[in-house]
Amino acid sequence: MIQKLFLIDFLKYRRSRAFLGISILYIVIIAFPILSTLTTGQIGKEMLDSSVNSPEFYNNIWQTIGYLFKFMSFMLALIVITHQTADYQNNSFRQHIIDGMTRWEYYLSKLIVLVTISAGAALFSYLIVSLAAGFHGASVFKMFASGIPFLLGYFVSTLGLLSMALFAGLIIKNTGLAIALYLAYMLVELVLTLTLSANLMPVGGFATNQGKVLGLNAFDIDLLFPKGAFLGLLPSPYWLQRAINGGNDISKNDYVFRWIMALIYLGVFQLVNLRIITRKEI
Amino acid sequence: MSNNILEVSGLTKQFGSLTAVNQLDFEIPQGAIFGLLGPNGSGKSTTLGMLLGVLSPSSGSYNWTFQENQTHVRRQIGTLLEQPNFIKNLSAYDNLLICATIKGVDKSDIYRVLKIVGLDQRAKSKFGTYSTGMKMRLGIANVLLGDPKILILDEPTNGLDPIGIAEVRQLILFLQSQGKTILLASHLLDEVEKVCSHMMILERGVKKYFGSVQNFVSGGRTSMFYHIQADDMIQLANTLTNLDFVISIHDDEGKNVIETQKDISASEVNRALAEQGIYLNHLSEYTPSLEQQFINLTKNKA
Repeated sequence: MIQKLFLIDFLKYRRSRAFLGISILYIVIIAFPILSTLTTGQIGKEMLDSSVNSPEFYNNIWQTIGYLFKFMSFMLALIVITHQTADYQNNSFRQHIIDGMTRWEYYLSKLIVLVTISAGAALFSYLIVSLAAGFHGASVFKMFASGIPFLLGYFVSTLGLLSMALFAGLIIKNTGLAIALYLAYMLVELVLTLTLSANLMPVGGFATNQGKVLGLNAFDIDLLFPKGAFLGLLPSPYWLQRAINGGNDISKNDYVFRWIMALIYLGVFQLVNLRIITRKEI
Repeated sequence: MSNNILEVSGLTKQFGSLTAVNQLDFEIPQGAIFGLLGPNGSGKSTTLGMLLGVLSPSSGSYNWTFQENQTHVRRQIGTLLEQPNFIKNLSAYDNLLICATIKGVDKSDIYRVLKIVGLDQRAKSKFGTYSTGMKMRLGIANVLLGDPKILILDEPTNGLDPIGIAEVRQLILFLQSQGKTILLASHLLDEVEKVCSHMMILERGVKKYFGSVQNFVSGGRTSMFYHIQADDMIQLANTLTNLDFVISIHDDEGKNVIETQKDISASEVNRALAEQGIYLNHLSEYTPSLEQQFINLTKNKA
């Protein structure tokens, strides 16, 4: 059944100009500068200061690439929104149900698309990193082994952001409005979390990372919101370094909390999307 | 085992305070061409939408009796609901490949159905480049995928030219001769009268008639119609309005047509008028067309 559902959406995507255009943009406009920076730029030089094939080398390179790549997920979200709204505009959702697809199968077909795009993005990030690392003589096997937690984080982070995009595409039929809603929410969440953390943190807290709210570092308050929870799976190397320098060792519990929050929101969006699909009158 | 292919009981759909379909009960016999008739907004598409899973009934139920497992029953039904819903930037072949994949039909069937509707030479053209008639024919091709036993066609001649309409009509009759059961929703009464064996008339979501087309047009109707003339037509009209058994009076190309209660014969009409001092110079029973019957039915009970 999964193969069948995959084929149905594959047929729709393969002739889609939006899919091709955004994918090319994703690869050429954003990924290539990253590759170029890693191999020749400042970040690359810093990482190369660690000796190639040392644990620090792999850690540095994965943290950097994971952090940079996660922002590209927003581009992939545009593909998901465009295709979901196209399903409404072409009446494909309605036609699929009429032709005999169950609503559960329709939901699964959408989930398969999200998983495929997220897995593709993770694989693409692995290829980019392997290229950069291989350029400096690193072991591809060690590269992969050390990168599994980052790849998983990137995969789940992308899956979460795409699930939010699917939600936007399910509740609004107009492509432009759905994209606007998605981006507006991201902005609102950013402003809200910045305002909250600024108000909750003691003076100087941001610099020293001393403020605690609900057991969280104050500027990690964004983990309580969906976008923050998904992006929080791949914290910035700058933050990690600062947290360590500030005397806050990044404990295992901190990562567990990040994963729990991301998985909770991922589950919530899956349930909400499933409910919309099963209840919507088309 | 039931001889019906579909059994519907108390089917109701409400949109807020509006009752679009109200307590529908009907059955479709196997092998019938079943017409679903009604003016625009009468609830035809809403009824079909519920039977096809795109709308949830507010109450009531339906049962496609030819298959126990109702989950995948729609894969055995060829449906064209309102208008063909295909993806503009995909070819006819790719669009049908998606439909065939959902229905579990082998892709080798695609060219067979495209050939039936005369689109095999344009299989690789994008759907967006098709004319209205070609789009409708592709919709019919999708209906025929997998050779289903039941076909649901909602306004299948919309957008077709007279030749296309005649072809669809021929196709429907051909499919019935192959033993298919066909549910045809239309507001084109002529179309229904020509091809349907059974029908249901809906108006504002309420069932107005259910039975065979022949019964409706002739014996099964709920009233009688007479062409009637007298020397003084004004006096005749005034007298008719005072007779209890007369339901309605209207003009049909210069002649008065009266609709009476079902059990009133021509001689009873003649006698009643003679008792009032009116002597007719013309009285004949008149069988109205489906269209006239339909207009009468919906006009009188609205």
